[in-house]
Amino acid sequence: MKARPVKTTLRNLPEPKAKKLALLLGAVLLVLVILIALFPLLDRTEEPYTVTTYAMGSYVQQSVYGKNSETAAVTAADAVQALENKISWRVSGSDIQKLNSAAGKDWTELSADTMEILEIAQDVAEKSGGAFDVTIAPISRLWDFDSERNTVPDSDQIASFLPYVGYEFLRLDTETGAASLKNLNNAVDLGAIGKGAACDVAVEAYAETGADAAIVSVGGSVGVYGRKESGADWNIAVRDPNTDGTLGTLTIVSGFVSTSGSYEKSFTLDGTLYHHLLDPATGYPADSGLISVTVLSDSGARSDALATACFVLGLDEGQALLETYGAEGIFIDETGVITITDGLQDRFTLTASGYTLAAQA
Amino acid sequence: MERRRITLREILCAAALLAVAIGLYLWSFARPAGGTVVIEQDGKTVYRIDFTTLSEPETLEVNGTVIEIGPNGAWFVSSPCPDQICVKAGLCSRAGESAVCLPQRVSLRITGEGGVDAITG
Repeated sequence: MKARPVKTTLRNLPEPKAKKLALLLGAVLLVLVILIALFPLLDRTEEPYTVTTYAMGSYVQQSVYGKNSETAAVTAADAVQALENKISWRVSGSDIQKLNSAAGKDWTELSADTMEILEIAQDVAEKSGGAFDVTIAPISRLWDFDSERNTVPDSDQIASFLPYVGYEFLRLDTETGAASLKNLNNAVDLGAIGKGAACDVAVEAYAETGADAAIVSVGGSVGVYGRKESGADWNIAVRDPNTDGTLGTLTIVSGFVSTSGSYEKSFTLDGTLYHHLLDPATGYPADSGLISVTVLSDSGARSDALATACFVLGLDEGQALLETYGAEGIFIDETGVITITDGLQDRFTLTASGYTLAAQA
Repeated sequence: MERRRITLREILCAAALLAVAIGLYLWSFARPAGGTVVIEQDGKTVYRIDFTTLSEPETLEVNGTVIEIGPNGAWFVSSPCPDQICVKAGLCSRAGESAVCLPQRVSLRITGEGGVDAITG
């Protein structure tokens, strides 16, 4: 028989070697334990570049991730400012100012950005039966909520301007990229769609500049781009319409979120709340039983327009409208009942008290 | 070869290691997520303050607005603006919470992970 060489095993390891091995294993174990213990911190390593600028009569708040974050944020802020210069009726030389001053006279050539927004606006106007209408300008100028004069216009004045509100007066020629308004008294105000559209151009800027991920909020309309390095979804706080706190958190992977609430630009006179969400049918603040609507869709402009349309239409018709677009929404009525569409059931967490969730349809 | 027995000292060592690990783990979770307030004026950062280490409240004046920063967060105390939306926003303490004074172009925002990324409404 051949003598087999004695194999070194853990059992017959010489004492000094065993001590060394034990020490080594102990050290490895220690390092492992510390790394695992510090694991929750890894989650927070990636800090975005954040900046708040001002445009579209509101704030533009950005958090941008990645190497080019600062360049991307500056580019996006510039893009929002450039958009304002095209679509604000207050900016002299803007597309909308030209369109309004040519009302009843001639066609106006528009930039591609403005044309695209007007197309989305007219589409939502048609599908909502005019609940959303950018030709509201003659009436919205009477109320002029931005001035904070806080007065109710004369009812005769509203009655005399109301016939000039109607989306059918705005005609678009997509072939030539031009638009016209039928009557001298017609005018366009993109206030109810502009902030959402600003999120669209910001997100385009992130894609062009090669940001890794970003989130932008323009006066409460939110757009997200890409995914955070941690892989976590985007958490968006929905404002509590009755306080200035948070109603709950909406978790999204992509898309654009807009909210229309009666608490935003408003004033109370003789016990009546007058808010900026005007019903194009009456010329007065919409009274549909809702106090806030939040909409999620794949376009910022569309989300913004749909939020206003849903607020004016009310819960049932608003839900039906969202369905035609495959959009999702959160409706809050004046009694504090929250209705959430199917697609957001698992994505919204209510944190505020004083509200009840409607039973799932 | 006889199997050696685990000594009391080794048990104590292992227990101590485990305690340290659990302690570290809890500490890294409990560390407040939002600890820094960034105050901006017209898009430029004017203050960046870690408020969790503040021993007493600090009052700052930024473009006419008065901002107080305490160990729990930051808030607008006063502003010359007509709408006072910034003052009504109250205390911002969690990551992602912010208050903006539009007329004065001053904003404060709590940064850090673990909170919300943006606010709609």
